Amino acid sequence: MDDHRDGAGQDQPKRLLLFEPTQLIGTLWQHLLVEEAGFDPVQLYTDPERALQEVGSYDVVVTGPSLTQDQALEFTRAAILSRPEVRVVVSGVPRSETAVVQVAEAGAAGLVLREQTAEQALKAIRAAGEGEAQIAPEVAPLLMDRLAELKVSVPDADTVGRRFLELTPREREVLELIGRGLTNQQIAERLVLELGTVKNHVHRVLEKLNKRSRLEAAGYLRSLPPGIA
Amino acid sequence: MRSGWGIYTVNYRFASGILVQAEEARLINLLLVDRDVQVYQGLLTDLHNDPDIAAIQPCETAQEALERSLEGTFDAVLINAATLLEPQALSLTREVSRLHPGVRVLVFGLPSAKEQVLDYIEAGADAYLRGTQSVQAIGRCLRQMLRGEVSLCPDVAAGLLSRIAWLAGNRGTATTNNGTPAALSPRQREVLALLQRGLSNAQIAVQLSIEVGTVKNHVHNVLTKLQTGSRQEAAKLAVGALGNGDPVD
Repeated sequence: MDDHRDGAGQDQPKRLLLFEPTQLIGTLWQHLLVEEAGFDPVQLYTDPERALQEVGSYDVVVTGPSLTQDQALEFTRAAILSRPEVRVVVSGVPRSETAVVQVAEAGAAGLVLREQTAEQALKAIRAAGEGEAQIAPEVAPLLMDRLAELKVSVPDADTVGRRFLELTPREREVLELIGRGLTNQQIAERLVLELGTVKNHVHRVLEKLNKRSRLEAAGYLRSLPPGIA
Repeated sequence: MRSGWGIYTVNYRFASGILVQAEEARLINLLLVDRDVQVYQGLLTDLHNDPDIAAIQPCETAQEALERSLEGTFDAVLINAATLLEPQALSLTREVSRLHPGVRVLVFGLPSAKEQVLDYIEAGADAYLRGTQSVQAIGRCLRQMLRGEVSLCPDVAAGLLSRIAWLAGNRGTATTNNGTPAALSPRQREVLALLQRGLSNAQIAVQLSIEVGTVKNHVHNVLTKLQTGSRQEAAKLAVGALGNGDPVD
């Protein structure tokens, strides 16, 4: 574990923050994660406020199994609020539809069920470090059904920014400036274009996004999931 | 979870001989929507010796599938997305799960892109296979689905979680207003309640016995979460966001 890994093409080890209020459980978890999951460092916090202050410098956050469901949910939401790109894995999740769905909706990037083994837990945490997820086959249908339900209740959601991807690079630039509240004249100056050309671009953008106003288009831009715009 | 699923699981177990009650045994009936006759024949052979599968019926078009009375006749519909035209396979998936919530949908022959797989799950697919798969693989996936289990690929699983969080309003900047109240932490709700009463950051800090800097962070996060630029607007939105109980009083 002590070898210095900075070779070309070698990924930096991911930094992991472990939040577990019971010191003993936390220490055991920490050892396992250091030895088996390839994270470096693995920092244990037993106090939620301290842990949340430090979230900013970690890639992956794991919540320990002794947290109640509500504590785990609250911590997950708070961690994501202070660092939107952090990947949170909630461990010790009871195998109930409500619990599993709540964890997913809170924004967790992975979950470990109470009955899962240490090996499965490590697999789930490693996957989160790589931007992937391991979901137990027994609970996968619950989450698939939940996604389908949510999709029906939010029918206009453009979950992958499909309409955005249909815009040309120039149109995306124009949309971004619309999003910042610039007028057509200001956009023309910024992009060194004729005013008429800008008007055409704006028209095309609204048409492609199926929006009636610049305000709506700006709202759409803000509503896109992270990593698209 | 959709209703109807438990019934099928139970009957499947009866049929598997775990509980031998012949009169309750109900075998699985399948509808295969596919233009490729070879898949049908292969599946027919593969599933022939399965004591739980009663019958598999083929049909060639999405239209034909939708004209059938699925509920009560079929337990699962298998759709070959590779031989149906793309929008047809997706809309068939959506229609079957909308009109017949008790009927399971397995889609195979999907493109490998994660986003497209997720589109099918959003449309209501209960199980999926990417690319060209052997009939044995389709059979395995089918049996697993009938047991109530699905093996998700790691990339699809990650995408599934992030789409759920995003639609529920807790990831990214996107929120529907109904997702907002749950997304605020208890401390943020307290801060919001005090904002609503018109308190300044310094006053809030005194009230909650925390540093002014911490209050500023909380206020910033609350404004971000409510997608608003001003305290005044946040205070107005607070009426909705704090709807289920003011935590301060």
